[in-house]
Formats: sequence, C-alpha cells, structure tokens
Amino acid sequence: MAAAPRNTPPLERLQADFLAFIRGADDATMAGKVRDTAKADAATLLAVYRDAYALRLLEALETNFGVLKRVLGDDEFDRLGRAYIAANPSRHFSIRWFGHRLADFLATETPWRDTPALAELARLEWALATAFDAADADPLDVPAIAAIAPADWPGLRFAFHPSLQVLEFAWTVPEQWNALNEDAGADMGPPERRDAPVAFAVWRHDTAEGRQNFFRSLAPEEAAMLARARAGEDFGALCEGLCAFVAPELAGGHVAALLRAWVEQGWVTAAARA
Amino acid sequence: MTSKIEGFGLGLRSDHYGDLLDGGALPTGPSRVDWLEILTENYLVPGGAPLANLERARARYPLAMHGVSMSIGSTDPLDMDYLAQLKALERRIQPAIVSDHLCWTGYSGINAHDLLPVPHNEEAIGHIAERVARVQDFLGRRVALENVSSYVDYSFSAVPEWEFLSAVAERADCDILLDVNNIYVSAFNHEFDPLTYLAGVPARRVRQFHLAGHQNHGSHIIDTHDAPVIDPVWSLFAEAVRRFGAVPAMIERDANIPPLAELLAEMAEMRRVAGAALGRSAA
Repeated sequence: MAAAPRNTPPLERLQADFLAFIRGADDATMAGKVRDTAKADAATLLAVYRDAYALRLLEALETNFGVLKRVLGDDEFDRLGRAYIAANPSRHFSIRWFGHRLADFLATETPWRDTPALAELARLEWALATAFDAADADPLDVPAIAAIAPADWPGLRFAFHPSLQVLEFAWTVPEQWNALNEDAGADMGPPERRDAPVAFAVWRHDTAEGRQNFFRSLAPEEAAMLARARAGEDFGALCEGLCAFVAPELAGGHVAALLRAWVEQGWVTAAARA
Repeated sequence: MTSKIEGFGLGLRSDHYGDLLDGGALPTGPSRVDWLEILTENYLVPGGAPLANLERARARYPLAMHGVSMSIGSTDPLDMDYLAQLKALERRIQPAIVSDHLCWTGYSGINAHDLLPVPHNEEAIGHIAERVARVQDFLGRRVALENVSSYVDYSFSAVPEWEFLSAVAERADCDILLDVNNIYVSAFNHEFDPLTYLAGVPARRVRQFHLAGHQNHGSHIIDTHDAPVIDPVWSLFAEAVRRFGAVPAMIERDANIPPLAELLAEMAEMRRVAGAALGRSAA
C-alpha cells in the first residue's frame, strides 16, 4: 500500500463533505478532492452525483404521488419535490418510504398550505401506497361469520386487515383522485369544500384472484362504529353505541348489516370472544 | 436448503412478473432463464403483492439477493434494523448469493440512495473489511461485494480500484460480484485499462457477473442500466469468462425496460459469448 498523500481527509470528513455537496452545498466543499480527467473536469463529474440525487428522490415522490403531480403540473411538482427533499432528506434504508411526511409538509409550508386540498390528496395517495404492501392477513368470509353461535355474538371482538385506514376529507379529493386516475386529462376543476368532513376507508382487498386497493366513504354512524370496533369494543357495545344514531330496537340489525358489509369487503380478519 | 445458481440469469423486475411467474411456458435452449436475481429492498415490505410475487419466483427459480442499502463503506454505524430484515428475508428464501456494493450510500443517518465511491486507501480498506466481517458473522453466511461504476476519482486514492477491491475481499474474506459493465464504465471515466483490472482480481472469490447497458456522454459514461449491452462490454465479458471461468452471469435492466423477449435474446447472446470464450458451442 502506497503511503497516503498528506492532504488525505479522514473518511468521515470526506463523507460529510460529499453528502453536503450533493445536497446542494457550495462547490468549494469538494474543491481539490476529485481529479480532473483528460475528458472532463472534476466539477462536471461531481455534478453527476448531485443531479442524480435530486432526480432519484423526485422519481420516488412521483411513484407515490402520481395524481398530485398531475394536479400540480410538472414544474410545480418539481418545485415542491425539491423543497421537500431539502427539508426532509431520506432517513430510511429503502427509497420506498420516501415522502412519508409530504402531506404534513403541504399542510404547513407556503404556498401549498393555502390550498388545503393538496395535503388531503397527498394523504390519500400515501394511504394507498401503504395499503399496497401492508402486511397480509386472511379475511373472514360471510359463512365463517354466519356460523358463529347467536349466544356468542354480544361478546365478539373483531380484528381488521392491516391495510385498512380511515381518513377524513374536508374536500372532494377522493372524487378528484378517481377522475384523474382513470383519465389523466380529466378536467373537473379544483376540488370543492364539503359541508362537513367525510370519513373514507382505504384498504386492500386480498382474494384468491389477487389484490386490489379500494376506498369508499363512510356514513357518520358507520365511521363511529368502525372506530369503536377497531378500538376493541365488542358487538354488544357497538349496538349500544349505535343507539345514538338509530332506534334501540333497530341497532342490533343495523350493526349486523354494517359488519356484513365489512366482511364482504375483506376488512375483518378475526371475530372471537375476548 | 440454500439454492445454488449456475448458468445465466436475469434481474427480476415487476414489468416481467406476468411473463416469468404466471406459470406459462418458458423458453428452453439458449434463451432459457436459469435463475433470477431479486432486488432485496423491493421485498423488505410488510406484505402484499411484492411478497406474493417473491414466493412465486422462489417456486420456479433459484434466487440470488442483491441489495443497495448495506452502505458498507459508510462511517455511520451499520444499520442493524436493515440487516435484521435482510437476514429474515435470507432465511425465508435461501438465496444462493447475498450481495451488495462496495460503496457508501449515506452519512449521519441521511440516505442518498446512490452508490457513492469510497477512496481507495488504507483507512477505507480497514474500515470496510471490519464491517464486512461483522455483517458475515451476523448473517451467518458469506456476502459478495460488487464493484460500482464511479464518476469521480479521489485525488488522494492511494491504489487502483482493483487492488482496493481485492484487498477488501481478502481481508474481510468475502466474495466478489464482478460487474463487467461497471469495469468498462469506470475504465472509461478514470482512464485505466479494463484488462489490467480483470488481471488484478482474485479469481477464487468471483461468484457472479453482472452485465448491463449505459449512456456515453463523451466526456464520461453514466451507468444507467437502460440499454442493451454494447460490443466492447461483450468483449470484456469474454475476457472475464476466460479468466474466471463459468461464473453465473446475468443481465441487469432497471430503466427503459423492454419486453421480456428482448432480454431473453440478450441472455442467449451472453450464453453464446461465454460458450465461445470457454471454447464450446452454446448449449
């Protein structure tokens, strides 16, 4: 091994400088550390890394937020992406998770916070990305639920598919997502503010035929019952809770109908007495 | 049981899940796929389609695991969470080879998601060899390190890249995944003779070859994996086969991904070039 030249920086110092450089620090950060070649100067060669850094992370954002990019347009999405990359560099080993704070970023940073539907759209797209590779669990089918003895029903508690998430939308963002996902050129105008926020469920339905992401709105009573069921309340408590929405004599049947819908959509993975 | 790979393979990409994994008839003869290499991080997810597709791949092919996140050259601590997930996946699919790159990918907890070059000097050799040894102890198996394409040559590197790669592999007692295209790219960018590189690598440690295409910008080449392998890289591959023997070899394509048939034709060419280099007809 040849002796190290006198100007050799420690490896850690070099990595600190190199990373600072590709994240946008002044060219002087890497001055003298890289050789010119006969074909290219050091600045040209170093720029390969700096350009690739931003482009790779922008591409990752585009993968997770494709409809947001269509809504903002290429230039504005690029501006947003570069601001986000500067403020929230990746700290995960996998680029798959890059963008996990983009919705919060849109909600708090100017100018994007002035258009609150953008943060809602990012939240929906992140939820869909999360549902795609959420953990697996076998959904219960309707016959399995129907086979449970009537005496066991009041004490039943339910487990839900790991992909199931509930988000609230104050704007007609899910409708906009549907239109733009089906037709990139769809022109439906900006999303409108709802009279009151509406809860939506986002989930992946695993069947023998394959896996597919879905989302749909929840009526207020269904959202309330789903929140209670996910918190571990039993069927009897759900029926009591529903009395706030319907006549007591109808509550049991109503909860049973909700539960049937949840099972048919693949949300429920276990039903058992505590 | 750990699988074994031999012959010629492809990097598995989602574009080809249908063609390769759905159970239809696969080509035989020169364009047959003997094994697949998976990108480790694509399957370090909780569940869903990626893991289902991985199971299908595993049922049909011997597998190799190729990662981009070990950051073996970084001065950050080893990411034990990553390594634990890597180990769990390794135990699950029993790959023939576990590989990553001789590079660093981040510093101070920030991941650049790029294969950044380390200086070729004694400090880096000692630092990396010690970390490779710890990774191999933790995984309970050997790993292979791949030479990366690089665009810069540090002014204070003390030895050529092939001496650096060899020194790390010898001191850590690990294997080498030799990317023939990366040798060509780095030789162009840093103005060395790629044949000198091949001659400087210890043959007994070379366990796998990568081949890919790149983009030549005149003043430098960028390793893009978005184009067919070019003729000078096929020639270099033939030299590598003559020197290192019938090492498992594969095509990597990560962008501008063509229909599978195009990659199968490239695989047949890889088989033909290797066969000719070894003095036998393609089989």
